[in-house]
Amino acid sequence: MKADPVDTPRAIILMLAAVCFCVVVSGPCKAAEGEFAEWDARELALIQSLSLSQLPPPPPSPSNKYADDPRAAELGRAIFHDSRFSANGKISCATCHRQDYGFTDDLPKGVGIGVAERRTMPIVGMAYQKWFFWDGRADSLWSQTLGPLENAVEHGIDRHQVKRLVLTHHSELYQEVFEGDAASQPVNQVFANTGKALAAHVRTLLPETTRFDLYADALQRERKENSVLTTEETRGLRLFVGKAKCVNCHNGPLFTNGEFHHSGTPDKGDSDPGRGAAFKDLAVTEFGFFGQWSDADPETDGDHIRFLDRDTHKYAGTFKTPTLRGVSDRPPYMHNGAFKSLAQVLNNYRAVSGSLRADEVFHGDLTDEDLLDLEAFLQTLSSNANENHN
Amino acid sequence: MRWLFLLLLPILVLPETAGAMDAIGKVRRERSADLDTSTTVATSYGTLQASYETDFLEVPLNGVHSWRLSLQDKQGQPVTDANIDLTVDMPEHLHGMTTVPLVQETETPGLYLVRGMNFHMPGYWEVTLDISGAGSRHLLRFNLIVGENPRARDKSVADES
Repeated sequence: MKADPVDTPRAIILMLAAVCFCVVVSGPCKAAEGEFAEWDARELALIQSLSLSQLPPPPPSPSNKYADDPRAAELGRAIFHDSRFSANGKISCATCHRQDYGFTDDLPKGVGIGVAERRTMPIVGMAYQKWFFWDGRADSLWSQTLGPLENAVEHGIDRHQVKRLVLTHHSELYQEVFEGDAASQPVNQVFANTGKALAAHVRTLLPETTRFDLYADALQRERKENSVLTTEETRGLRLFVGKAKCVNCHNGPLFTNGEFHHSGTPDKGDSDPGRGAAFKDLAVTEFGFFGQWSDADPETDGDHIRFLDRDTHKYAGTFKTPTLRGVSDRPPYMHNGAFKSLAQVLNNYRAVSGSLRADEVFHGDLTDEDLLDLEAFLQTLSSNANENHN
Repeated sequence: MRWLFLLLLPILVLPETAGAMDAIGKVRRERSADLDTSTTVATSYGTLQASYETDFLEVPLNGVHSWRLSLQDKQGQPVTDANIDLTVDMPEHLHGMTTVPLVQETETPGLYLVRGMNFHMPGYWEVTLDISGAGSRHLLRFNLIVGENPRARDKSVADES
């Protein structure tokens, strides 16, 4: 059929309209090229909130008045690396918290005197945390450091041995820091002070600038996409703060909210109550934030502990959100070391999304390519990635 | 007798499944596009007005902090001795905070201190106040968007220049 000549201009208009529509629909075509991706206000705000430049100085540690004393940190560092603080003389804190491996180890579960119940936690940025251990059963960093010393499968010694070791090998520095002779102090006081020195050292372990931070800083200056990250990494970042909702728990400059969540990690039938079993420990420990050896003001400090929701049922099977800084450098992953690679972790999050195994995990309908992009983005969170790309 | 069994079944079973019911009973709600995030809210006839302030420009993400909560009646008079039941939820996530905040009346009439607030995830939060006293009961709700506010960024840009 021959086209009605009257219809020709209309057809042209329709075609033009269709072209305009396509241009509008594919508006972020620049983003597809990865050169000038547009970020909306919400995304920009979240990206900035993750940047290391937003990290304030470490908050005070009211329960440890030696927390920022350099001499205490020096003593703590010496004890951290001293393998005499173990049942067989071979295990120090640094055995599992390896500096060459992001201050954790490459094992599914830590190995000291025996095999620990959970994976060794990375300890960079601990100065910013409120709760310690995977289940948060310690409410201060110094209290946490005491746990492994007396754990039979970690250091395997007790506080009396700790006191003797401090007296024998570190008495001079101890006396200088704590203004007292360990020999004349009660064993629990020496034990607590040892923890406070260890905490002062661990507080100095801070994250380093990564390619993601360089990207966020450049974005802050120019408000537009820049060349620091690749197209895949940028797509991964967009998923991270958007559809995949990783930022819900992995938020702030340390990529963790320090709180406890169901991650849907398979446990091979070895059920671990996690946070659900921690409230009892918090209540009974003599080295707690409100305990005898704490320096905190019980009236004004510690609102996060005072008003803690201690609902055992609600938190059963939850574990602390770990930092993602340096994450690609330190497999395996999760509290039980269940996954050997980030790809496995991401796959599991997709698999359990919206299921009863992880009732608060909703990661959207992620494609295989999305997972690859997320993995690419996670690799920008390592400081040594600078060397690979610059 | 079967009807009696069916009638009693929920009563017998409910306590055991209370946790699950908590999740099932709630409905996931996304934030509306025109969400009102005012820090002052009032009942529809203005019989009760509540407002809050903190020590911060923005309500902090991941920071335990306190709210100063003020209650006024229709005549602008402070409401004292109110019994305030405070609930905090993330409608998009079906859960609330990891703290249980405490509401304390202060010496200033109509001013209440809420201690232990902690928004541990970015996004849409609802703070609901069930306020009873003087023979009446009111529900008031604050909506908040935490940690996603571009204003903080704008401010830092302004500071640089």
